[in-house]
Formats: sequence, C-alpha cells, structure tokens
Amino acid sequence: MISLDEFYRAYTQFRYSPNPEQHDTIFPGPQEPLFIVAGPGTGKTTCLTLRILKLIVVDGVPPNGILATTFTKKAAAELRSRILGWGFQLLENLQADGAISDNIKDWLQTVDINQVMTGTIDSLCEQVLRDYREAGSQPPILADDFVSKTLLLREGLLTDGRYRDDDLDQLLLELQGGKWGWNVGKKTNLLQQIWDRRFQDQVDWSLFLASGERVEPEFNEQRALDLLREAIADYETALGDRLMVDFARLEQTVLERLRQGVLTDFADQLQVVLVDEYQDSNLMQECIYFELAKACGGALTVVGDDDQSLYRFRGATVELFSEFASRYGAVFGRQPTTIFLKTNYRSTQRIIEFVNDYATLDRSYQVVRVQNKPRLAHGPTAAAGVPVLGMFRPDLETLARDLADFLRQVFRGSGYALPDGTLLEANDQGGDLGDCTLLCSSPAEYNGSGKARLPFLLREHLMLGHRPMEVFNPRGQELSDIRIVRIFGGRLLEGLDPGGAIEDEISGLNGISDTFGEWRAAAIEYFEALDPTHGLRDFATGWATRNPGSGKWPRSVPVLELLYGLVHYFPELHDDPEGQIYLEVFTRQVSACEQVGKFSGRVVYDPDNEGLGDASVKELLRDFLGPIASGTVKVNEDLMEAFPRDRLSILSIHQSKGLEFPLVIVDVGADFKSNHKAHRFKRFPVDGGTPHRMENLLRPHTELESPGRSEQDRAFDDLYRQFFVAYSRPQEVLLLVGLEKTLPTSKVSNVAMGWTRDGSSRWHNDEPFVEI
Amino acid sequence: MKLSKRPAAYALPSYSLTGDLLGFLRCGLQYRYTRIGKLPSTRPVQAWFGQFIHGVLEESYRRYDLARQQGRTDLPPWDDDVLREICDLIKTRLAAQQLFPWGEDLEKLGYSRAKSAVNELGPQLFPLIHRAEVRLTGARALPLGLIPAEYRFREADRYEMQGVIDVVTNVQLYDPDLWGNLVVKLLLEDFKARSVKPQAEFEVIIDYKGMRRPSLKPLDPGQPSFWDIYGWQAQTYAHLRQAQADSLPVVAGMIIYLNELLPTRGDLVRLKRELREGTTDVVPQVGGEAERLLGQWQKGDPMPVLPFEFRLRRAIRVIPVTEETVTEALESFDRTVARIEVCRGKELTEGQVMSTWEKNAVDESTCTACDARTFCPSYGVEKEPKLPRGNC
Repeated sequence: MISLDEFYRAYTQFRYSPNPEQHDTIFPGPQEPLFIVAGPGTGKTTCLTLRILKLIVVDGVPPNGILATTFTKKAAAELRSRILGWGFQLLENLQADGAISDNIKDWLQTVDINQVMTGTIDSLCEQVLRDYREAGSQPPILADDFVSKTLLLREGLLTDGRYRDDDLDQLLLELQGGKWGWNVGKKTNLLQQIWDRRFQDQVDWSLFLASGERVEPEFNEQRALDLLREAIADYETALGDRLMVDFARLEQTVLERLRQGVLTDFADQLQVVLVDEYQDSNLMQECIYFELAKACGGALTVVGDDDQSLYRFRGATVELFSEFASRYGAVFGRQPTTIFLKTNYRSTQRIIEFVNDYATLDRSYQVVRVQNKPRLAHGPTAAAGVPVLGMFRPDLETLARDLADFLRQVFRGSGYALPDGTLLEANDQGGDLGDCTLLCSSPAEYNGSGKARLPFLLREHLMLGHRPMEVFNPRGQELSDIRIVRIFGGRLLEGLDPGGAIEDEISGLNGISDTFGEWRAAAIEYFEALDPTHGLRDFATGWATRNPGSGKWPRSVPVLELLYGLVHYFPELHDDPEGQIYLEVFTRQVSACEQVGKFSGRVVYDPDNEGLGDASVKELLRDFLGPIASGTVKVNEDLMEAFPRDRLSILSIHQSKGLEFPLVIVDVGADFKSNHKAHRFKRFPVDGGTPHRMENLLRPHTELESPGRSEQDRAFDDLYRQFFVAYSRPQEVLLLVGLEKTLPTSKVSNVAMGWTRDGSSRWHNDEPFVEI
Repeated sequence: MKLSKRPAAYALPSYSLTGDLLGFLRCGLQYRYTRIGKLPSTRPVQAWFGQFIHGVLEESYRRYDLARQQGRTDLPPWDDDVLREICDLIKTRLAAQQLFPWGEDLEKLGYSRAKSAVNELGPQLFPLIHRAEVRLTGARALPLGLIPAEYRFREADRYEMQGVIDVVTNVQLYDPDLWGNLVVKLLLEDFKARSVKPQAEFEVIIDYKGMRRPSLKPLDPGQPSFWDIYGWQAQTYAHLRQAQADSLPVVAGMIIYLNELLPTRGDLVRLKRELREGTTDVVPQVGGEAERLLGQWQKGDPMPVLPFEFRLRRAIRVIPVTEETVTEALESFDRTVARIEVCRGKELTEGQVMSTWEKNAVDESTCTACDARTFCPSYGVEKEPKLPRGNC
C-alpha cells in the first residue's frame, strides 16, 4: 500500500488538491461510517471518487470489495467514468514516482480498478441476482414500466371488471384528489404507485389491507381494499408466470435474499458501501444498504443533500437522510461521522449568497433540514459576479420576445448591457447557446387547456430574424403531436385498420380515438400529396387490402415488417438522428406488445376467421399505438448524446439536477397572472398532492409511521426544494423570468418569489435581484 | 463580462466485444440502427438460437454443479423429459425477452441441438468448468491518434471494454478424473503441436458460438475474416480475465461452434464443398468412419450420424494465448473502437446517419437479414420493401 501523502502527490499532478472539508471525507479508514451532507457545487462526486481510490491504494481494500451506488444512470456513468479515468491516471503517476518502491509498484500493477461495483441501485440489484444466482433460481428478467402497467391494467383492473367498481374507484379517486382527467389509465398509475410503495415503504401489507374503517352510503373502504388485494395479487401472479420482476420486486427480492443469508458469496466480498444522492432513498433501499453494511462491519458512507430531495413522488423519504445519524446509530450501535461540504466551487459569490438567503427564508422549512447545517461558502477564487437578474413583463408574448432578444444579444450579437453597464457576452473561445438553459417546472410548450406557454413562444421568437436560434426541448411537445410521428403513426393505423372499422369496435380508447383520427388525417393528407408513382402507394395499399399482388397473404406477419417497410419511405426516420429516437419509441412499443400480448406483436390474417385477424389488430391498436397516442410512452433520452452546443436547452427543474450551466434562466412565474387555484400547487400549495396522500394512506402501516408534518407543509417543503435546486445551478448568471403579476410586490403568492408559509413575501420591500 | 464555456460531460464510452465490436465489424450502419438506436430485428432467429443453446447449457451446468455440491454425480446424458423441461424453461425465459423461434422447425432444431450439446458435450465439458458467465471489464486509452480532431467529441481519454465469458475452465492436468476427457485430449494435442508446455494447473476460457465452424477463406480478402475476429475476442477475454484476482494462468481460449455438434443438411453440403476446396482446417481422418460417411452422403440422402469425436473436433477451436497475440488483439480492438468513434463524431457533426456510418458488410446473409436493406446505399439487391407473401 502507499501513504496518503503519496496518494495526494500523484493526484495533484492532474487535479487540484482537496480542501480540508473534502479531505475529511477522503481520509477516514474503510470501517468508519460517514454521513456527508454536501451542498450544491461542493464537489461530492470528486470526494466519492477520491475516497474510493484512496480506499483501494492506501487502505488496500480490493476493488471488488467496494460498492458505490447513485440515483440515475447518468450519475452512475459519471461516477464510474471518474473512478476509471482518474484511477488509471493516478496509477500511472504512482508508477512514475521515483520515491515508491518496486515492491509496491508490482502490487499496484495487480490492482484492477475496473472491479469496483458501480451503478444505480436497480442495476446493481439486477447484477447481484444474475451473477450470484443460487442454483435452481431464475435470473431476473425486468419488466419495463409499460409492461408493468399493461399487466396491472389487464390482470389487475380489467379482470372481473374491477375498474368499474365504485368502492375501488373512490379509494383511488381520493388519492388522485379530483376527477380531472379521471380514466382507467389514471387508475392504473395509482395502482402501480401503491404496488411500488408497498415495497418502498415496507408496508405491513396484511395490516393495511385489513384497515378499512369507513363505511359510508357510497363508500365501503374495506371492500375497496379487498379488491385492491385481488388486483395486486393477480398482477403479481402474471409477472411470476412470465419469470419477470418489476423494479420494486427486484429490490425487494435482493433485500429478502440478503436477510435470508443466501447471497453469501456476494456479501463476503463486500468491504465498503458508498451511496450517493441518499436524500432520494426510500425505506426499502435503506434496509438494503443497512444489510449490505452489516456484511462489512457497518462500513457505510452516505452522501446527499436534503435541500435537493426532489423525488417524493417516486417514493423518496427525505427523513431517512436528514435523520441518518440516529437511524444508523440505532442499528449499528455507534454514530457515523457527520461531515458538511459547504464550499461551493460552482457559482459566483452573489449567487451563493442568494441561494443561502433563499434556503433560510421560511422558518418552518428549517425544521426539516439537517441539524446545524452551515451556509454555503464560496471558493477562494470565486468572482463576486453580477447581481441576480430579473426579467418581468406584463404579458407572455412580451416576455418571450424580450428574452429571445436578450439571448440573441448575448450569443449572436455584441453582448447585452446590464443596468450597471456591464456587458454580458458569450465566451469568445467557442461560447454558444449550449452554455445556457431555461429551467421550468414543466418544459411543455402548451398547458392543459392548449394555450401556448413560455417554452413555445420563446422557441418561436428565437427562430425569427436573420440569425435564427434553435431550442433543444425533447419534452416540450407531446410525442403524439410531432409531425413525423403523426404521419407515421397514421400510416401504421391505415395499414393495420384502413378507415378505422376495427378501431370503432374497441372500447376504452378514451382520448386516444381523437389522436388516432388526427394521425389518420395527417397520413392521408401526406399520401394524397405523393407522386402517383411513389412506391409508398403500392406498399400501403397492399397492406390495407392484405393483397401482396401475386401469391397469398401469410397467415401471420410481425407488425415490425409493416413498420420497417414504411420506414423505407421516410428518410426523417432512417437518416435523421432525431427521427431515430422517435422510431425507437414505435419499435420499443412493439417489443412490449410481444412481451404481454396474446398475438406477440403479429398481424393475423385468416379469411375463414376474420374475428381472429381483427383481434390481433385490436391488440396492436390498444397496446402498440395506443400508448404512443395517449402520451404514456416517452422518448428514450438516454439515446441523446448530449445537449447540443448550438441550441438552448429547455429543461424541467428535475432534469437539471446534478447539472450546471454558466447562465441559468429560471421561469418563476410565466404561467401566473392571478392567484387562481388551478396552479396553486406550482406556486403556493394549500394542500398536498397524490404523493402526500399516498404517504397518509400507507405510512401508518410501516415502521416509519404517519408523517409528522401536514400534507400542506410537505407540499410546501417540496416546492421550496425545487427552487433551491434551480437557483443553485448557475455558475455565473442567474436570471429569473416571469409575468409582472408575479413580482414580490404583487398579490400572486409564489414560493419562488420569496413567499413564506405565513402568506407574505420576504422580498416585498427588498427584491434580491436587478430587473432588466 | 464573458460567460465561461460549459465543459462536455466526462463520461467514458463503453464497448462490449460482442454487442459492439463484432456488431460494428459485421456492418457499421446496421450496428448504428440495432445497437445504438436500439431498433429490434424482424428476424431475430439467430439471436434466439444462440441464446437458447447458451441458456440450456448454462442451466444444465448449474444443475450438474448443484448435484456435485450435494455430493452426487449427475453427469449427462439425461432423459428426454429432463432436457425438455430445461428447454421449455429457457424458451419461456427468452420469450420474456422478446426472443421467439418463429417456427416449429427451428424450435425443433434448437431443442435437438441443445440435447446434443448437453448429452454429448456436457459430460466432457461440465467437469472442467470453474465458473460460468464471468463478467469482464477493462479500460484502455482511447486511440485518439486514429480519430481525426474534427470528429473527437468527448472529454474522456479512455474507453471501457466489457465482455462475458461463457465458461472458465480449470484444468488440472494430473487430475485422474480428467483422464480420457476428450476436451482435455484435444487441448493437449493442440499444445503438443505448438510445442507449448502448460503448467500443471491452468485456465482455458470458453466461448460458445451458435454457428458452424467458419471457413478459412475470407469473404473479403481486404478485411479481417470472422475467423480472425473471433480469435481477437478470445485473446481480449483472456487479457481481461487474467487481471481478475481469482484467475489462474490463462493459456488458451477455446471456441465451441455448437452447430457442428448437430449439423443440418445445409451444413453438410457446405462442409463437403469446403473439403473439396481445402478451405476448412478440420478434416476427417483418412480411412476413418467420418470420411466414409461424408464421402457416401449425397444431398438427398438421410442425414448420417457422424462420429462424436469428429463432430467435437469440428466444434472445438483452440486459440493459444501469448503476450504477443494479446497485444495484437488489443490493437485490433482499439482500431475498431476508433472506427466507431469516428462514425459517431461524423454523425454528430453532419446530422445524418446513412452517409456517416461505415457500410462494411461482406457477408450476404448480414444484408439479407437486415431491416435497412432496402434503403441501404450499398446494398442494391432490394430497392423497395416487399409485401408479405406466404402460404395461406
């Protein structure tokens, strides 16, 4: 092994030396439990990476004895890249260090850093069950979200007509909180959330299912719970019959096997466990981490930030992080060392000050933060920076126009002059729009009533003029509204079911039939404009009439043959990288149909039994094209290489987690003209949402017990955290944008504008931004 | 005030030997669609075949191993009922992953081939197995010298290589239980022919291929043949395996061409042609049973049952592993990674797919099974999609 000095000497040849608080996270030995509270931009990935490398080369922990997990695939890829990239550079520098003995160099040559286990908790669970599978058990086959939902719908809700039952309906409706858009798809989503939380919160399922107390003229709670039991049991059986597990079951299986002591080969090799983004863990994951830590004498390091916990709606329980020290102590009989990473290397002094002030505005919020949490400090070389900026306009159109002008001047012009005369300019060494992002609560271009929102209007304005600028907003438009998706979807519909005769016989296509109609119209219009000799005409007609010209139509054809045949005629889908991403959605859905459908994604043709052919088409309309038309299926953002340098990225605040940009624009109120109740949950909640009601329903039957804070307070805390994350993304410039009505001096209550729970804005008399 | 420039995300690209490198070498454009774009194939027959036999062999080994751990010897051959149950299990597992045989004939062939693999190969192979499905990773410097500056789009200077070895065997030469083992015998014959003296205990890594033994004749003399490419794969696996803590010296790789255990009529026709042309390296012994059966057999005749030892010789290819051969293979790996990176860089720069990816397929069967064949600029046989035709 090498000394810590030798470690740092090799490391500082290619990176800056860690600061004292970072050093505190790296220095402790493998057995030391650590609770690292890392504010935004304080270098937590650096610390985790260095800790792992130090454990290997200084403490001699074998790489395959280290397990490091984080929340998203992208974060896991980054962590792994850092471990390998820096690790190999470190090893090379150590080999070149004349002060290190040959014996140690020989040992270093045997160190295989690749063996460190990294990934998301799901990927690691899958890996463990696959690689340490005991004889007689099956490797996990993961059901993706759509497959899970389809099985829940078909086996859980449609069986015995459960979806029509008034009591079950009432139970689920109360979780939803209102009848808006209430349909069987919404019920399926809620059922899936209950199923997930059953495991995530480690619900005492029998106790919960027996807990129905309310008997009202129109609602029998116990009866609803009985039906829930049946629906969930049927879903579970359907998964088991297919040898499948979903994500919740996958993690639960690992937990059970760890508790049963059957993963001994895996547990025996473990020496240290490190968990990043711990603030978004749930109870099941905590149990897994604690079981793993038990296998290595409690050597657990967790890293996170309660202020950046955004995933309650996916089952995250932030208290597991903020109370980690006591929870760990209760299990392991000793306290972890708490380390605060507070020096922010990302932002300017003024932005850090703004973020600090924002985090402490609301008195009630302080109660749920980690105790004794220090304010963020700026790094030694941080510039003072320009003040936080605000752009507020009387109407949305003007806001979009002025914001586009601002971006044009900064990135395509000679700069934008701030009120104090400072000229804001793009970097002259290749600076471009990719150095900026617009963060919104939702990047959707239209609201629920079909009215254009800021992302749409901004896109329009950016395209005007002689130097148009484009946006990158993969979630801006509904997939089903994109031109090529409409035409291609319409052609598939017309190929499978020309004129829609079979579609008319399908019940339960709520809201989807309209989209199908629009798709068909777009496809027919496209078709009619084609040259009379265009090959698509013969191909489409042949499919529509099931007439191959010569010979006979086969009894069964994979729908993929129709799909790829059509792709031939659409260069946008086979030659444009963006089109490839849309095409992947269609093919992914075919695969899902193959997994769960009775016809395995095939079109059946039987002149003697037309009903059979119709049934195969119905299945494809419902399970292949239906989810795309309804918006259930999204594009796979993993297929996108990176944010394009020459476009403005428009992201949700959730998407921006873990990212940083030189210039960040935050939409704090482009949607709010008044105190209308419809958008209260996005600016000043007065009650909870589905995740909070779900907690109320299930938590009493868990070891966590009922939440200590009200629904409203939890919703308020969640919104507060969202804007904390948004405000801490910029490196140099933070620009807040909205309508004038949302300024702190107006009456529109808005958490993003300094409003606290007591119903007033702390910024009313002292705006912490400069208007432009 | 000048804004800074947002740095690119630091992420190492990851390339697997089979999914990425072999996929790209088969055809760059097809690789772009199926691997990077995740577009499934309409004809995943080969994928089903390969994974089915892999799955059956793995499950069978696990059962053998469980019995061994419990102090019982339960070597194949096993009854048809047992094998059918295993085959059905693997079929269900593959169906859950959207892999289907799409035809009774193909399914029947798969079951028969799996039976032959377990009942004939299993008794020779299973006692040698140390670990099954061993995952490998390694990192190498990105070959930046082979990537023109205009197509470099990453901050990372390394790439991660990945692979899965089907089977790692642990061979103890003086273990009396292995006397008479045909796989060991073939290994030792190979070592002797090359004047290699192995240590008393060593590892051989084994990769199953759901295909027949390739011809020695390259399809395109200007490009590496699949014979070479599979050789590189074995060398690279050996290199990555050697770095793992529980590894013994890896002296050889072994490829088992599973189709040779139960050849089809078409396979025998090709074998006879290769024997005539001298383009295959494993030929029947002069005057032996295999030579007699092959010589007599004509295309329309019932299928002969060739002696197991001959089929096993045809199935097994031993690839000696040395420092030089490993270096050569890794350099080939690097060159292929550079070619992929260049294509990715071009696509990012030019915003198009078809003109930026290599269309390097040399095997007609790669193109005929490709869903992009009608619009692929380098395949001129089918210019428009055909409507389905069949026997109704």
